[in-house]
Amino acid sequence: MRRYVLGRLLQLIPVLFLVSLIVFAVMRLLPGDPALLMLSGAEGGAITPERLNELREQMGLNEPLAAQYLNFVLGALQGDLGSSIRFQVPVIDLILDRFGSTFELAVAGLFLAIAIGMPLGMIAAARQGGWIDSLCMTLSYIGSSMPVYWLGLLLVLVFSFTLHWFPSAGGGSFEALILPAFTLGLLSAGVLARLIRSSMLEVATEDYMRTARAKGLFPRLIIFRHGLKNAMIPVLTMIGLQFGALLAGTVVTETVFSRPGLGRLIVDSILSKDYPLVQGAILFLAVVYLLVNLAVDLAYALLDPRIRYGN
Amino acid sequence: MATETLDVGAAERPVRLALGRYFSHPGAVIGLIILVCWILVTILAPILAPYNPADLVARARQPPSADHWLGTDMLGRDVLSRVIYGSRISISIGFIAVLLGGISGVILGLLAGYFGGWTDTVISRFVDALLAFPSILLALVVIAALGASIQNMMIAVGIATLPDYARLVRGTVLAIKSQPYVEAARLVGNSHLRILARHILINVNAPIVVLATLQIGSAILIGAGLSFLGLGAQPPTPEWGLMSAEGRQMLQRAWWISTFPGVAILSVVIACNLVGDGLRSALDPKMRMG
Amino acid sequence: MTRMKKAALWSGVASLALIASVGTAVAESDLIIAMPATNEPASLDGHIDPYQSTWLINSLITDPLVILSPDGTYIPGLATDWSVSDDGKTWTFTLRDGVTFHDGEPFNAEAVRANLERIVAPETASAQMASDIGPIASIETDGETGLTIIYDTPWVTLLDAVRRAPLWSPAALATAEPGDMSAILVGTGPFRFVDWVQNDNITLERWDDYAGVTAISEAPGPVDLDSVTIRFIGESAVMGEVLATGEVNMVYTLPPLFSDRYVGNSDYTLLSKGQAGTGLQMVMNTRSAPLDDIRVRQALILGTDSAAANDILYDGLYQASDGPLNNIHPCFWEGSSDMYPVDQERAAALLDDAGWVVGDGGMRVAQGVEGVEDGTPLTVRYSTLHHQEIGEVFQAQLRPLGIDLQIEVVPGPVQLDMVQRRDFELMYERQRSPSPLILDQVWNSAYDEPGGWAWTGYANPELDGILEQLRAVFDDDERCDLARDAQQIIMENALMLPTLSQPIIVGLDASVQGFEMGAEGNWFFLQNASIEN
Repeated sequence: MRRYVLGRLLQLIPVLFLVSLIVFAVMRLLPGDPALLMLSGAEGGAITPERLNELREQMGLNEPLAAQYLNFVLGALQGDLGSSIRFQVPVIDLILDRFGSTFELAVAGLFLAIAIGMPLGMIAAARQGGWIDSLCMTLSYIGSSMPVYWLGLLLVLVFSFTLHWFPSAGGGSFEALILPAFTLGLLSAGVLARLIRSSMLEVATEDYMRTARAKGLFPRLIIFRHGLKNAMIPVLTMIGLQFGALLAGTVVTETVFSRPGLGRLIVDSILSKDYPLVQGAILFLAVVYLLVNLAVDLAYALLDPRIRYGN
Repeated sequence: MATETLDVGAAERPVRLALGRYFSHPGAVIGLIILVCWILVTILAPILAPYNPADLVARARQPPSADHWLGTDMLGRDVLSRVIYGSRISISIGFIAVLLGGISGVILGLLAGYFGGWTDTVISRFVDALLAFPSILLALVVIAALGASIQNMMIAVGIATLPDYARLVRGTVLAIKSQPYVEAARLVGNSHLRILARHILINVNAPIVVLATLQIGSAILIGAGLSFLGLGAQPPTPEWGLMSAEGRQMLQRAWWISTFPGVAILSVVIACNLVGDGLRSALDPKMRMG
Repeated sequence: MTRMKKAALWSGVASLALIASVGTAVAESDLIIAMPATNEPASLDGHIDPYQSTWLINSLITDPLVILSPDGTYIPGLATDWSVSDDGKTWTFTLRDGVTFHDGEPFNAEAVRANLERIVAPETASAQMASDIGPIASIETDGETGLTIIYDTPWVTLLDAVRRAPLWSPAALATAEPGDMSAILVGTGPFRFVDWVQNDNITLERWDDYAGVTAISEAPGPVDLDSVTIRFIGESAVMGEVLATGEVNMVYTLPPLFSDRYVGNSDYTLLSKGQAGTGLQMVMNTRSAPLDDIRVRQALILGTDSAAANDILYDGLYQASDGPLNNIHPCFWEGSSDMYPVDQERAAALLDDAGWVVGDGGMRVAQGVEGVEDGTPLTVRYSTLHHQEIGEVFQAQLRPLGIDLQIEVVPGPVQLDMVQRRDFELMYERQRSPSPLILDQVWNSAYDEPGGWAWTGYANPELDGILEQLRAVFDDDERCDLARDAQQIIMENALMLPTLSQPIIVGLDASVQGFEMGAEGNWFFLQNASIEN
């Protein structure tokens, strides 16, 4: 097991290197001179060429690209992602400030996705072919086929504007978390429900399940006792992937609900071309995503010993 | 639980069997009908649409009526006509993005899986790196670099969906490569290109088709999200995502402006998911959806 | 997975505990204000930021030297008296005695000098305030209440700058780390800065030692409000509803289409005020075809109907802006309204005359236009930061004329980049100020330089000469006369396409008392406000 963990960690290194390279390269393709952007606010101000050059020097923009990239990577390794153009504070501080709220939202969304998606999928599998199955699957298809912002606004319309149950905007409280978490969770719940249903049905065709059936065990019992446990492995992988989707989903959800979070920070910084912030925040999210998937893979290996010896 | 079909074997008339399996799922049939209807709408848009989608034809924000079945939008344009013309844009965003991402992803996956070694390592790490960016973020970054427009949105969404194909194809190729008939083809002296095309591509096309169908739906959703963030289609393009995003501030008082384009998106995405799931169980009996 | 579930549960429990504690702490007199997320300051330091919202929020934390009162006159802030020499080069202020900053430091002429010097210092990178304060030659103080600011050239607009310029404790400025706002934002005002959760809210609490001696305070001593929370809301649908859902006491500003939700309801008060300035204008790049031809520019103005756009988009709640200054501006030139009445026929004739003829499909194409290949379609690109819906209405109005107006919504930095490269055709621009000097900034070809605001490429010595005089003339009426002459020249040459002017609509619930809106819609005072349940 230790060798497996070590191997997986080593594999992360080239990926992280490529991730940083992609982020850096794309940011350099952005139009506009970062130093010029830093000097000019939205409503005026005169810019002298001397000041511009001075700032370019300060920001290291006069150095060759390779050196700039090296600085970026070396800084990132020490937790220094540079300073935001717009906020003029270290990028890493901004990210760490916001990440709590985003993580909370993603975890709550995942929790709801599992709490809603799993029973939905299991019920559908148990009642395969019946109207309950159709109903569950219809719900799951609708849930996962709506534009996120639209679902979010519908929830706000019903539960906030009309029923006044939950606040329509902001962060910081449990009530304010509920609607955005449902917005995110419902989307993933749909995907999850279908996956659980299909993996349980797939497992149901395996030999030992047929044996169980031949022994005269009650079909629904078979599904719950044997099916669920074995269906969990692909589901677990999917949950890892969905966590990434949830993190990405916060980009839109946080904008709809005016929550302070990493997703909204990234959108705002892209719109205002705050490139050190975009660069740092995306790198950070990618690392989180990789680590979550690593954790899922390790859990997977713990559940199924074949994996760590096989591969 | 229809386990019988498993034993019948795919040897005789696989196409008819697959079709039979497909049409035995009511969901898949419904999905196909919806999709065909929408494709007809895109073709017949100029005949079906009662008004020019860009003209101000009535007072703004009028509820659905006999003259304007789906009401008028923020500016007084006919929502029905805009939804009809919008199908051309939104559906082609889905198709073209998936085509772009699919072709490049499949090529990368084929190369990585078939040649192995260094080619595989480089491509796989690159794909892993792309996978590390959640898809909408990847699209956002690409748009940030290229600028906001429909064309760039297609490219962005295409790049965002590319790694899924590469991964899928690589895995399948690895499994097929060691099959005796591929070995045989190589021993007889077939070129790599010929083997890739004749023996391998043909065997991975089923999962690719399934994935692509499912991806059209998510491409349309990502596109709508980008339009919502102001990074997608630009006004007055009747793109569904932009329409429902623009009308959202009036959701409470002029619900039709945002709702109908939203429902259009919902229906196409559901249809793609239904068709994709139906195709999967039709083409690959082991992965049945029931 | 169980670990994830546990984490989710744990975070839920923690959040529940949080509300429980917050729930008990709710005090009586907390004013909660909703503001659009686009108004969120960048650094929150008015020395650096070029945003009205930064200066407004700063004014809650620190009192300025002079206050522009709700009736539009300057009244004493921390200066009791001021005067300017006849040549406009020397300003003398007498400051209040006995005022202190939140940190106990004394407020005096040296403190003002430290602030002014920080604003104009290059390393501060002030985006706007430094140019508003102007090229100060020297500052003289007696160390206590006497302050003299001397310029080499007349600088008659200083009051408009110092009414916005925040004054921070020099001791705080000397020791604070850059970006540490709670260390920098130490002022003399009614509220102390508590916290800024970016993208979410800014919280301020009452300063109990506030003297309340400026002319805006009705009574001395600290203010009634216990705290002020400013929440930044991203969705305009939500902005329109948060007052009704009771999440906030005040909306600043309410999207116009939502105002009928509150009008005629005694539980709410709506206040509306125009913002004098340029209005939401589209300036034209005269450097290249098709807008290098005055006939095309005139046709654009003749072919668009901004009053119709107002009705369609805003239920007529926006205000007319017919020229380079909007109609509520004290120096507005009335002639702007009559020069280009909506006239599609005249517009069509001008376009025909200019060589843009109607081609297949009704859209115009070039035929003998100088520097343009025959057959080129007549497209005009409009780049804007927001209010793209006005462009969309214009687009529909211009299409019957055969003009294809293309709209692109660009973020601020991209706009800046396009302007720097002079790569635009129609560009959104808005300046908000009751001073006619904004005409000089926007139209004097001397500012056609990197970082300048004169973008159109139009140079006219007569216009430049008139605009230059604006800075030197004292008398308000005389300045307005000059400004009107300038507006006439700009309109005659059709250098900009006027659209509308955005009013500020403030929504308050019945509990808010004593709220005062500034002379300009973009300012307000909370010194006399209270919450009564």
